[in-house]
Parts: sequence; C-alpha cells; structure tokens
Amino acid sequence: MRISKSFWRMIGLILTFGIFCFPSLSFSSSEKVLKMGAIFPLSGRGATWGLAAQKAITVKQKEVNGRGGLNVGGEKYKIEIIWEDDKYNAAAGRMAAEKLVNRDKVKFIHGSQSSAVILAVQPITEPNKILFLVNSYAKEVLTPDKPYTFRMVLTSNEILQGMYPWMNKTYPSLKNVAFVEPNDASGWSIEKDCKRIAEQNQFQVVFSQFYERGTSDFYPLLNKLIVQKPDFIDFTGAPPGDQALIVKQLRELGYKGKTFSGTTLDPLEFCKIAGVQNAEGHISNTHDLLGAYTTEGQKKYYDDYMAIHGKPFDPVTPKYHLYLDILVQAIEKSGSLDPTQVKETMEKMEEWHTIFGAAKFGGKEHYGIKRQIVTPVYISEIVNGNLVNRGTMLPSLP
Amino acid sequence: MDFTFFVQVFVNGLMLGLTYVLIASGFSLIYGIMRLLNFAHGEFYMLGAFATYLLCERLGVNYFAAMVLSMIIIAVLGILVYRFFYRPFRDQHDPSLVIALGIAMLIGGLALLVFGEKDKSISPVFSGVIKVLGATLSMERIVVIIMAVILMAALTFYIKFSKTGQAMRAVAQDREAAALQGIGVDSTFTLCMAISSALAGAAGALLAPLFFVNPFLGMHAVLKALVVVVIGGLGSIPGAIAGGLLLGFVESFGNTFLGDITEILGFVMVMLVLLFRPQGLFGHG
Repeated sequence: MRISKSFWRMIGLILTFGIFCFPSLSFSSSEKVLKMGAIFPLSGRGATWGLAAQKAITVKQKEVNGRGGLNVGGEKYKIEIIWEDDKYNAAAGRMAAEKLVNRDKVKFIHGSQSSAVILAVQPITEPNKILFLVNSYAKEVLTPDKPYTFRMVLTSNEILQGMYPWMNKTYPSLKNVAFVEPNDASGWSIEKDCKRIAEQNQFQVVFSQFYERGTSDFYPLLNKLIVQKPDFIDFTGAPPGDQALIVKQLRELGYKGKTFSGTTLDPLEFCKIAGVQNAEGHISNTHDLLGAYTTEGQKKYYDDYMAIHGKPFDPVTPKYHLYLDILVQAIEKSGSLDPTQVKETMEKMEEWHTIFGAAKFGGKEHYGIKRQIVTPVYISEIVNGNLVNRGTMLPSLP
Repeated sequence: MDFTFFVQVFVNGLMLGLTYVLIASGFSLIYGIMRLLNFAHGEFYMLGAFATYLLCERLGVNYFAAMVLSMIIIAVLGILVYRFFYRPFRDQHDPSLVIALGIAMLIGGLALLVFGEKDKSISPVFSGVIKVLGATLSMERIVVIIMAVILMAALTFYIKFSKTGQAMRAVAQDREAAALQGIGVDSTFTLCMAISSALAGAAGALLAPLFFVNPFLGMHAVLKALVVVVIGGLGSIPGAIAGGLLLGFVESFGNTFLGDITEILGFVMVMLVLLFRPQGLFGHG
C-alpha cells in the first residue's frame, strides 16, 4: 500500500504541534515546572569539568524533585534543566545563552568553567537580569557592574590562600617553589595568584614557565626547571592528565621534591598515568568524601551520587553541588522566582548550609563586589595510591 | 649549566623529534602519493592509541601484539575512509580538503562519545631509567626511539626497493604515465592509505604508554605533522624525518634558552621555509 505524501505531512504537523505545545513530557501537566539553563563544556577539552558539573547538579536536581519539588511561597515546582554544550568555546557559549534567554525564557543559568564563555555570556545575562551562577577563575568575571553574576566555586585565589599557609605550617623546611602553568588566559591568571600568594607566605619563587596546551612531552621544560632545585612544584592551572604526566616525567628525571596542585583530581586516574610510586606525597585540593573531615552532607552526596551515576565515584564533582544547592536555598528563602529578589536574598544571607558545612559570599575587597563563594579548602596527599585527608582551612576573603 | 645538562637537552630533542617523525611520516606519504592533506591522520593516531589501550587494558593482550593489531585495525579503517570518502573526490583539491577536515571532526566527535572525555593510560610496559652520558632517559622512551628508527628504516627501504614501493613513486611522479605502464593507480592509493594509517596507528601505540590517551590527541598531532612536513617538504619521507628531528631539537633548545615563546618557533620556521624555500628542505620544486 502506498502512503500518500499528505499523510506524512499530517504526521509531521501533529508532531511539530506536539513538540511546541507539550515541551515538558517528563512531568505531569498538573505539576509546576521551573526551567533553568545550564551552559557547560560537555564536549571538547573542558568536558572533564563540564560533565562533572552536570553530574553534581543532577544529584541535587533529583533530590529536590524527589521531595516534591522546589517550595516557592507554598507552591511546589519541579526543576527542569536545559543543558547546553559550550564546547569550551566563547561563540558556542554565547549562542547557547541567546537560545536559553530568548527562546526558552529561563531566568536562572548555571555557567561554564571557561572564562571566555562567561565573559561572552554576561552581556546577555546582565541587561536581562538573569541570575548567572558561574565557575571560571578569571578575576574580571566578578566586577561591580555585573551584579547578577555569582561565582559558586572557589578559584585559585581562595584555594591557594588556604593551601599555602597550610604548606608553610606543615612543611616548614620547604623554602622555594617553581610554577608550571598552561600558556593561556587561565594559566596566566592562576600563575599570578600563585606567585602573589606564595610570596605572601614567604616562599621564594625560583622558576616559572608556561607550556602550550596539548603538550605531552614535558622533558625539555622540566629539565630546565629541576636545575633551579625547587623544594616543591605547583601546577595548579594544568588539567588533571597534564598534572599526572608532569609528576611522572619529573620523577623520571630524578626530581625528589614535593609536587602540589590547588585543584581537585581523581586519585585513581592520577596514579594510573603518573604511576603509584611517582604520585606518592602529591598534595592537592581533593577531598576524600569517606575520610576525615567529612560532613553528613558529604556522605549523603556520596550515596546519592552512587545511586544515580554508579561506580566509580568522581571526586571532582562535589564542589559543583553548590550551584543548585545554594540557588534552591535562595529561591525558597526569598519565596520568589524573580531573579532580582533571589539575587537580593543571596546578597543578604550571611550563611549557607552546604555539603561542605557553613559557606558565605565574600570578595568585596578583592573583586569589588561580594559575589565569591567561600567554603572550606580541603587538602589531601596521595599515599600508596590513595587519597588521605590532611587538613581543612577556611580562606580569608575580605 | 654543565655538559650533562646539554646532553639531556640534546636527548630530549631527539626524543621529541622522533615523536614528530612518527606522526608526520604517514601524513607526508599520503601527500606525496595522493596529493591529499589528510587531516584525519591525527585522528588515526588517536585511534591507534585507543586501540592499544583497549587491547592491553581491557582484553589483556600483550603490548607488542596489541601494537601490531592496532596497526592492522587502523590500516583497515584507513582503507575504508579512502574507499568511501576520499575516492569519490579524487583529484578534486578543495572538496577533498573539506572532506578530510570533516572526517577528522567526525572521528574526534565519535571518539569523545564512545571513549569519554577522561584521560586514560596504559600500564607501563618497561620501567626504570638509564643514564646516557649523564642524561636520564626512561626505558619506555628508549623503546620508542628504537621502534621509531626501525619503522622509518623499513618505510624508506620499502618505498625505495620493493615493487609496490616503486609503483608508489611512479604514481607520485606521473599518475598517467604510471597507469600506462600497467600500475593500478587506485590500488596504489589504497595501499598508500593503508601504510600511512598503519604508521599513525603505530605512533599511537608507541606513544600511548608514555603519555596518556584521550579523544583530543588528534588535532594537536596533525598540527605538528603539518609544521614538520612543510619544513621538510610536502610528500618527502626524508623531509619528514629531517623536519621532525629539526623541530624536536629547536623546541628542546628553545625551551632551555628562550622559555615561553618556544611554541611559536615551529611556525617561524614554517614562515622562513615558505619564504626562502617554498618546496621545503627536501621537497622538489
């Protein structure tokens, strides 16, 4: 039997009509839905961080929807998140923001780890009064003329302000430091923070050099570095795989000092690339959620994560839980879905209950506006291939 | 800075250079015979690394067997890509360039979907380091150096002395004349694609235990290969060897004496070559 073209046209029309009239088929028609946007690098070189953020935000989303939804002035709203991939690229991020704001009409956007993406999206979110919760490290992301942007993750500035005093106290014999960072805006910004904070903590900087992203043979650079005899080497801005390769090649070249990074890492992957022996004693800003300094909230996050995503647990994800966690608290506290009212609540609240314990927004002196989240900084070392929690410090951020 | 330090810089340059030679030789071979800038070559290198990773880490295959299997797998993939995508656009410069770029993006995207974004590594095949005139070199690196030299020697001898190698050279020199002599141009192209892809697979397999494996390896590799073959001469295998080693030494010594700006030295060399010897160091005018 031959089916006429008009039949297929009819089917097409019905489907198109259905898509536009019933955009959210995942919730029943009686439920109210709050749509949010999320622009992260879900592919490309930043995908490790983007996918980690997606996993953590999904854990919180499922938890809120599981308890009936978001409570806004007595009414319940299920959270729906529209995920967009910025490919770690400013143009793709801006296009995603245009779509979210103009077509999907979202009022809240969770944002990228890329400074270039954030800076490209802010000209859309700020004039439209869209609450934009971000991650990237660049200082200029937070300025007084961008009141709708809040940074939900600690940057190298805050993390190192917690870690360097700890290094000073724990390893008083270490006197000088060397830096290896990627050669781009993010690497330059982090290196500046590293140098400033190291010097504030009486460490002497004996070497600092940038490398091109994509480099896998670090021998030429490290050969030059080792001659300067640094007591420890900091490569906070390098991606996790590069960090592990640097450690492996440092040890091959005979370096015996400490290695250090103010970022989170997956100890399993790190040791697989670097080698368990080479990774011994590596200090990082990673937190073992089953070890010391663990809160009830962190244990619950771990369980929820395992129930949703299964093994293995990704220790890079917990910090991204703050995005939706704090936004949910702010919306429920303000009793409104108006981004301006939610923003005002975020400005006024002095303390937030997070999985890391009490947190607050700070940074008025450093950034010119109080928009930087401040949570405890966790410090751990790799011992026999495992993460061992060594300490926690709250960075001071006036 | 003492003698040992300079030996280390030299050895680093040699190792870096051989890495580039491994990746660039197949890229250059394809251009020399088929006049095609195969941008997917970097992705074949990445897939070679992934094939070795899967064979060694998931299936427990011996590393050297995994390397040979990876070369075969990538060679077959190269043949398929040639048959389905490149052959229809043979002798059409612009479309074939766009197709090659498209294939590279397609393979990169699919690899990200299938293998995920995280860095993966192969358990060390050889461990320990040795000292050469005071310079440190890991056993893993020595294996790469030896294998790279063997592969390059084998390729050079094959192209120079074997019957099919001579057929390749004939096709490269004059396609129509070669066809008139009874050489099958299409089968020569297929063979050339298979050898070039196998070389990319071998490079991936050799370098995977040294570094790490992820879906983003390809683009960086093909950029380096492009720099190497422009310096050495597009289509010239000796040129790829010379260009790769030269770039390796320039980067190693540049890193030591110039620091951060080293990365642009390769492009400066490309510009100088294009200005003063556009055919490259070993290319023909």
